[in-house]
Amino acid sequence: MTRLLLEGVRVLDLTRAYAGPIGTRVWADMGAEVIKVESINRLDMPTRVISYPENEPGEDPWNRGGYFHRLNVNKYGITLDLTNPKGVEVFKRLVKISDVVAENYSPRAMENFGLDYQVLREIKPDIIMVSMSGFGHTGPHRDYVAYVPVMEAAGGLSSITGFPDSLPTFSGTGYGDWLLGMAGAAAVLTALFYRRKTGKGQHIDVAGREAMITHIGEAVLDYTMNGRLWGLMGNRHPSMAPHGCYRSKDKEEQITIAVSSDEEWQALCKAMGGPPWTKEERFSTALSRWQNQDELDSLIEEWTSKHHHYEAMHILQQAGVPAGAVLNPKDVLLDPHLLERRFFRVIEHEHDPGVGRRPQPMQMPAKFSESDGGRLRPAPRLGQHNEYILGELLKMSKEELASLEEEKVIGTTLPLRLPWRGLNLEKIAEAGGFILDRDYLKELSSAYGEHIGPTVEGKKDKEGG
Amino acid sequence: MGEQALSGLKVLDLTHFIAGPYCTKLMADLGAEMIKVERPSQGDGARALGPFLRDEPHPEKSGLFFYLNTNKKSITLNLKTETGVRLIKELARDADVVVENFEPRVMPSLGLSYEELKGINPRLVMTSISNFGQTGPYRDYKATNLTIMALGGTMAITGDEYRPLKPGGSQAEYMAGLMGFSATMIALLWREETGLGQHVDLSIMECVSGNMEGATTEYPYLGVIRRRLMQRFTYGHPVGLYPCKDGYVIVIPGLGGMQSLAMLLGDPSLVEHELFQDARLRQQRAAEFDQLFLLPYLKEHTKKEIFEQAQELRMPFGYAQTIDELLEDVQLQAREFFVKAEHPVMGDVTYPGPLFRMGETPWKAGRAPLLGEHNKEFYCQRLGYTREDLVKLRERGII
Repeated sequence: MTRLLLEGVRVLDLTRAYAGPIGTRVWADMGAEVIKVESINRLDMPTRVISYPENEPGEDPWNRGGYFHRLNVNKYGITLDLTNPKGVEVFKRLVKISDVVAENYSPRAMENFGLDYQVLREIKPDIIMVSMSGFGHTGPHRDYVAYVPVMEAAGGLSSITGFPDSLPTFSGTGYGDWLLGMAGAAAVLTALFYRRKTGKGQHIDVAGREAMITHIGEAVLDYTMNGRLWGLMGNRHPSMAPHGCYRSKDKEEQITIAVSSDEEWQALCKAMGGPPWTKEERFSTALSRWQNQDELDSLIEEWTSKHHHYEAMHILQQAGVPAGAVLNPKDVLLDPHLLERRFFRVIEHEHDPGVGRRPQPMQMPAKFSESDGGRLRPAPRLGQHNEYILGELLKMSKEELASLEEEKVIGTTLPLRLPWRGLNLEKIAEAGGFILDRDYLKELSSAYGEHIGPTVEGKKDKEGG
Repeated sequence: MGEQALSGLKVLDLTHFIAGPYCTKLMADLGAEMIKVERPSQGDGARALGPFLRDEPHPEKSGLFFYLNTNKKSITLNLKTETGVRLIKELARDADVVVENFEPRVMPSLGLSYEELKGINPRLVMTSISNFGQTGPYRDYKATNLTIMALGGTMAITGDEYRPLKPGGSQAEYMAGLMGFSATMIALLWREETGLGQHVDLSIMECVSGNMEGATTEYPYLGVIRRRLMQRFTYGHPVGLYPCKDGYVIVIPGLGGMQSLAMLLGDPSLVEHELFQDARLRQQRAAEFDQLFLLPYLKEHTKKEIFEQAQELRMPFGYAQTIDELLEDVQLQAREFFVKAEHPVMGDVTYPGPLFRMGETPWKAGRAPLLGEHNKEFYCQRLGYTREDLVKLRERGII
């Protein structure tokens, strides 16, 4: 077997919620041994309890959260209470045999555990530690907290995202979290490379709002060079036109079109069947099209509203016009291009037949010629790898583990019962938040060519569920 | 602080516009030696895109080009000539990495496919960034940031009830540049273990789809397709952008919850009120809650006051900071986030600093190169051409 890309790299992953876990998943997908450390007194919330399969909390709801499964594919999972000195002691033993410690607590937390970088470095001099926070680990606002809307707002993105007749708008995808996690992932890979050459570890400080500012560089330069502040431009572009999002035949579907040259404009006119208005002088140059884009957009919409979004996209692409259907989450999962590239892979939750098989995206959006990523392991059940990590790797005895369990330093179940419940899907759908699709498992099974959904013992193959 | 993390790494940069140049900028700012190969006379297409200094279109005055090409060296070379291709192969021989973001058919058509380059240098890592990847039915489709944000799924769940929206700027391309950087580092780490290079095929559409997080989980788990209005249900009430004395603030009680909110409003006893006690009731009577409690307080205070007071109470409030506000921001100033570099044509340029801060290995500010600025140094000193050779190459339109 070929060597996995990051084989031999061991990570202690203290990250929680979204930003940290999505970043550490990159290393896990690439073959690193990422050990997720949680406490039974403080689970990785809220992701462990969002999106239960078929909306059923089941017997062990904390193992059934779809969001948690999504963010923690390929990771190992142990429990360890770091507010207990015994938990800290075990953690330190793990540090001794690890390469990376990742965390996204607020800056004080690691100090409070007695596990800041200075301490870790004494235990393992070449340790790499990455701290992901909203505002960074230094400065007067270092202890400020940031959820994703604040990361985007304090990073300047919100001030240039929105429709001109409305308000600044947050991404619907948690982009600020994604970016913080991916910046942390990139930083650690850089530090691993440096350590490979020099043997030196280091501490990395990633601030989510700073990462966000680095991704709007040209808007910053327009201000520092020219004193110009970008406003809310909706989907429009400073020089391209047409450049927008248009209605299609179905009111739930839209299509985007972006024309960057005269050649593409001619191609667009031809693809729309060359209606007379396309020859009018007000649309004859790039500048005049840009100046008259309100009229232009409504004329283009007359054509797009006769077609479905995919259909319009293929017609325009055949003609050489950049066009893209606005794909909703279901479309993305079933998109023929992504299917062919195997961007989503079916993960089998072998210990949870109720979860069974579900597709999850790969976190590294790239194909490597020397590795197809290899294994795919489902996100860990709570404390699933306590025995392997603490027993085998740290060589702790059964008695030691039992006594830690008794003291609730480790565990595989929760000490308290919470009122677990699913979402009120009908109600949210009624209010416009969701569209319900009862045939989802059938549709997915047919697109992925294998059974998707719960698996029943002995019926694991095509006819299962 | 010692040497830079990537010093000694040699990269041949065949990228243009945004995604590819951002990937190689990240490497160059961390110390990699970056040879950027540009088309003779026009150079990278980003040189023709604004914003321009004082709005004067000029190949050496593009702020976009400047920002994405700091710390690189520029040589010109026409890849559509035999000599051009031969020179690229010569350069690839002792490079560690080649990064390119042409359309997938271009490199093979030039005789510069990965297989070809691997034959010359088996240790080479080649990173190809493209809109849809090097395979699949959309491989040769055209795209821009807007159409990829649509296809990747972001726009369907961003915006208002009727209108899908793309995030500001060119986020899809920046996402791809960042992931291209990480993918390249992974391939380099693997090379350190095995001695072998490889080809990395990165898709911008997949970068965007990989940011869907919960939305692409809800469908296979719950059988629901998230719509844009779902944002309203994510956190409960009150959450969102609210008007205040001098603009808008983001209200999010967060983990501190309603108790902290009552303290912010100046009356801790409010927690006894049924609208503070019962989250479902509050959601149902959202407008009443806002009128009674929130709006009167917000109207009396500025966004900065509200932001700082709420944060002192551990509530993750914020406000949509504009870029002028960012440049004045005390936290960013304390962290010396914005940096300055001097450019021979543009003068002093102030721009955003590092994506992340490494304790041992410094990140360096720098400027973008002039078109072909390093031709002489490169062709004469490195490759041993004479000045006469350079003149000949120039006359033949090769450099």
